[in-house]
Amino acid sequence: MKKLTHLSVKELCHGYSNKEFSPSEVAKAYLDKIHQDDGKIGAYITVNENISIKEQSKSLLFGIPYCAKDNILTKGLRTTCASKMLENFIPPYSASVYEKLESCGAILLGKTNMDEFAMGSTTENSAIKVTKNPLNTLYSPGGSSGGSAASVAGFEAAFSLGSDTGGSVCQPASFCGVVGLKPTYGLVSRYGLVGFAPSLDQIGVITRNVYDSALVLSEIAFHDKKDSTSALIKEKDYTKGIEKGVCGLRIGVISDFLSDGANTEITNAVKSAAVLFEKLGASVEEVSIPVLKHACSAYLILSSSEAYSTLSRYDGLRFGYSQDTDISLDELYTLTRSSGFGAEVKRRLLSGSVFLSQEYFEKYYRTAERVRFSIIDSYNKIFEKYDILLSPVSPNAAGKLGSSPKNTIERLLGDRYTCCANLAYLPSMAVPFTKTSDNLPVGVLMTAPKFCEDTLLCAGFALECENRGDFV
Amino acid sequence: MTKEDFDKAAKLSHLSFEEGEKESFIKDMTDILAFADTLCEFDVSEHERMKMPKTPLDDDEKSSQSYSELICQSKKSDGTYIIVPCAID
Repeated sequence: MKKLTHLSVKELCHGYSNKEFSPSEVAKAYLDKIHQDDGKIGAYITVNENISIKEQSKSLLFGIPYCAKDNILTKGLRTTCASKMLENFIPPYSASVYEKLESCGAILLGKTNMDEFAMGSTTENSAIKVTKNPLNTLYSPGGSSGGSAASVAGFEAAFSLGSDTGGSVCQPASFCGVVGLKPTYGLVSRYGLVGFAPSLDQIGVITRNVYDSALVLSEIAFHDKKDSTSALIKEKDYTKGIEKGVCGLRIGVISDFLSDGANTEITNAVKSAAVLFEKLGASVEEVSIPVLKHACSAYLILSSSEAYSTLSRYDGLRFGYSQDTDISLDELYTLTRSSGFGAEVKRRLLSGSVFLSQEYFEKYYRTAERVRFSIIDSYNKIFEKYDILLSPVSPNAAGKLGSSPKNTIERLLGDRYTCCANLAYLPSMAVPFTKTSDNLPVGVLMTAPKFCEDTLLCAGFALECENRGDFV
Repeated sequence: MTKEDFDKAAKLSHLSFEEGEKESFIKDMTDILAFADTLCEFDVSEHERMKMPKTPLDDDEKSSQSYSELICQSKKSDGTYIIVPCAID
């Protein structure tokens, strides 16, 4: 019999309805697992020891233990963004997503590690601790939602919430052999998500299988009037029709991403996935989207510029870390920010200040904006012919801890496939597909038109069922 | 990036750096700007700059909140004024 911590969200629901076990037993099993193993993995920053089981709700997420990335506000429970700047910050209000899951009766186990303010791709930029990949603890879990991915892959949560600005849900999910879903921009409320780049950020879901993603998305996708960018959508059940298969689906493989220096094992995985989709009845063709070559530089400019604005609130005055000495206001700002932020955050802020400066605004920011429009136009044209686009998640599999490229641009280029969906406000999903010769998981990335998460989930479900790999 | 440009960016970002660490950050910033410059290869002439919408949403006129409502909503007040932390001596 499977351990309670190894049951999927769907299996837990069935277990509860058949009264095989109770939410308090499951929550205790997960807490015991966290206390036993998280010392080796380091997924959690804060464990919620004060769990209370709510009254029975009709939601399928009732009694399901989960964790949330530590940039999602949880009233009364420390939220740090893995930064010294918010090391002891206790939020006075909660994110809408958290409140929704609370009302469903889902059980928050704790808050997970991340790259500081979601800036990074290995979770090594955290000011709090290092998280290790549960599949091989010498390796990074990816980032910036590394703790969220590691917790699900390490059976320390049934599902987790992450945030994705340029790949921070899909990439760590791929590195840890689990499923990562980044919804359409506006589908999931950002109210209470600590901002990095507000036009790119989106809360996403990490699960051990595609069906569980659909279950969770069904609860967290709703219109929220507290978020002015929240889409006016009707809530729906994303599990309906998930098993209908991909017969007749038109799939485009982005050829530009198969010939730009990605590792051969990675590109072979995408080609094999394409063959599998064809076998299942989809029509598959290669497609070229030349403008995507510039997506990464546009992403760098836009995200750094937005971060420069978003992080200006950390001034040592109203909340968070402060250099509490007898100094002028200007010195207070500078000393607080210089000692409160890590190196990667500082790089992004410096970049943003240049891109938004009067001298360079037209050259960088305005150009990046227009490239973004071109990317959106290109996707709109492509999606007239195709239902799903297939590509690698990342040019390489997980790297060893401490071996991240020293060169800033090389690190950033790791996001070149995933950032495209964020720029175009599109949904994307990483599904584990194979393993490298070093036994590290490799996922494939699927992108769909806006608000077509059901197409994405259907394709992911079909791929997963046919592939049946053993990843976690 | 020159040292002067770096110092200007640091001032705009409200960040200070030890002399020892500046060199490494200047190198990073030079690499970042060189990478950003590759965007200039792309022909953006077909794409207009972002414009404001021609027909903004209709203004929805509402009455102002009363003084007492505003005082009640403030984090801290003495009943007459909103109290804020003292930031400047």
